Amino acid sequence: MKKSIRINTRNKLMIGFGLILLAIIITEVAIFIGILGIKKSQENMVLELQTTAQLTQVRSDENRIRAMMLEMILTKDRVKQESIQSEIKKRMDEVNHFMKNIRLVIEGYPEEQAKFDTIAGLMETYRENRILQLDIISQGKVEEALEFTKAKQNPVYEKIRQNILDLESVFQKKNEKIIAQNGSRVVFVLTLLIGMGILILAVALFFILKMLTLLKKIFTEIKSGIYILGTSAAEILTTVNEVSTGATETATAVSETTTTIEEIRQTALIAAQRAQSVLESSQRASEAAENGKESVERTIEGMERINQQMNMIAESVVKLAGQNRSIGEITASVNDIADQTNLLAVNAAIEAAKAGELGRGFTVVAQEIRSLAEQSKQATGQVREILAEIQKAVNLAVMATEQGTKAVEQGSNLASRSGEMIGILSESVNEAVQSVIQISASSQQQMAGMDQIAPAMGNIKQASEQNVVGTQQTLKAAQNLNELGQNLRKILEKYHV
Amino acid sequence: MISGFKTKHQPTGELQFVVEFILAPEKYAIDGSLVSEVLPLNNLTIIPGVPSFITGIMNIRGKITSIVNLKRFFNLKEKGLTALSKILVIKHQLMEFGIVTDEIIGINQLDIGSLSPPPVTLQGEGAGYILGVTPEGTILLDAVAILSDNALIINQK
Repeated sequence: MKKSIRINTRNKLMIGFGLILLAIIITEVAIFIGILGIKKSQENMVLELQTTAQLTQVRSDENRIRAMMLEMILTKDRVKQESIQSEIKKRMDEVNHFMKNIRLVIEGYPEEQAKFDTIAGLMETYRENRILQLDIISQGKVEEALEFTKAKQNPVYEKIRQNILDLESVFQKKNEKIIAQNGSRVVFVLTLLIGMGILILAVALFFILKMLTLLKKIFTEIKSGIYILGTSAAEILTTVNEVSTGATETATAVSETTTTIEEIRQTALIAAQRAQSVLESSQRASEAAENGKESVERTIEGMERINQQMNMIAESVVKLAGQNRSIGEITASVNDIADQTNLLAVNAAIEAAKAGELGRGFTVVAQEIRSLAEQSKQATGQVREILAEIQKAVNLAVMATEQGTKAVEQGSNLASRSGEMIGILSESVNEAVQSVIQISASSQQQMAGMDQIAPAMGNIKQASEQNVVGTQQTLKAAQNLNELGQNLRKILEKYHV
Repeated sequence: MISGFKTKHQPTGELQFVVEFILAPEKYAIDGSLVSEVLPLNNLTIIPGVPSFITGIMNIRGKITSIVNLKRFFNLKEKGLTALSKILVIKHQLMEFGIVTDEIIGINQLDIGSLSPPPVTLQGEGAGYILGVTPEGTILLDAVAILSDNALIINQK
């Protein structure tokens, strides 16, 4: 936008100056052409004036010749006639000379040429008549000569005179026309001059105004630029101040960092020592893990033995249950027998009762048998109760052995898992040992690295000190810049536009 | 409570020799002279097409004997037959059959004079078979009436 405006302005200026130059050139050319025209017209006028003069001369010469002819006619003296005749001849040559000049001048003007040709023809007739008259005169015939003059020469002369006057008037008119033309030319040239002058002035004024506006604009922009420069310089100054502070802080930080690096170096040393002790303890842990593995294996073996014994117990319990059942069966049959004995005793009692007094003793026996049967029944009942309890106990034992077997299995599984865990633990410990070895190596490298960092930090310290010095120089430069900005602002305020 | 021939009660009249048994939950007694024997329940054969109080038939020493369930007569709740059930065989003249009992208690002697008449509340087919009730609550059955019942006789044939 700004660029295009600038280019436009330059082009406008160029075009303006070009226009002015062109106007000047055109004016010059026009004036030159006008002046040339005037000059040519004047030359023509002079020529025509001369021609007119010559025509007048011819007219007067012809008049003179006519007078001399009359004198010759009237003079008797031969000598005098002779001198007049030579005089006439002289005049005639003069007339011829003029005529020749005029003919040259009017070449190219048909109107004048026609008129001139008429005059020339008349003059030729007049001259031939005159030669004839001269002959008459030389013969001395005065009367006849006079008559000839009167009859022939005078009308011809009159015609010649009239034609010449006509031609003169033609020239006169032409001259007047040329004068008028010249006048108008002068007026045109003057008008052109004045017009062009005004035009050039207007264009010049326009461009000067335009330039002034542009100048004002540029000045305003420069002004704002200088304000910005001033502000920016102040800001730069502030920033450089901050940078200077920062550089100082950096120098301090670098010193602190150097100290810290020394501390880190110490730490690395300690880390290396710790890594060594960790290595030793992890090796011990590894050994312990191996021992643990063996113990777990032994535990698993023990568990298996327990499992076998549990199986044996289970078998024994099952056998016991079977025997219990057979005892039960035996008891049942005993009970049955007791039952039947009881019935038999009842039957015996009935029979004894039927027998009356004779059966009384038998009744007592039957009663005794019955009570024995009752006792054995009670005993079988007790046996049955005991057997039921034994059965319960056996059932509990079966359940307990099953649970025991399961518990042993679980224990075995747990022991195997512990074995696996201890295996994993052992691997982990081995990995830890490897890691610790790496850590130890790393801390060694770290220490070496720290040794390298120390001189590097020294260099950084130097650099930061140089940085501080450089920043101070920059600060000075920024201050100068700030002053420059303020000065420029003052100058601007002084030359306020 | 087998008291045998020794009775706690002071005899007030005629003493009757009986066999006591249990038909749950009551205690019953029957005239001992009509009882031929007691024996365990086994080899019972169930016969189709007989009245419901005939449980079946049994071979007792080569003699086919009908087995009667008195619970049907007295509308008592039945437990069903078990190995513990006992058969009480009664005989009067030509009639002989077995009664299913839950348990045989033994022989006893009842004072006939102390018997009270059967309660009026006792109904059903068996009402006519009861002679009386002892002060202890033992129901004395009329064995002769049972044995001469037409229903049983018809069935016998």
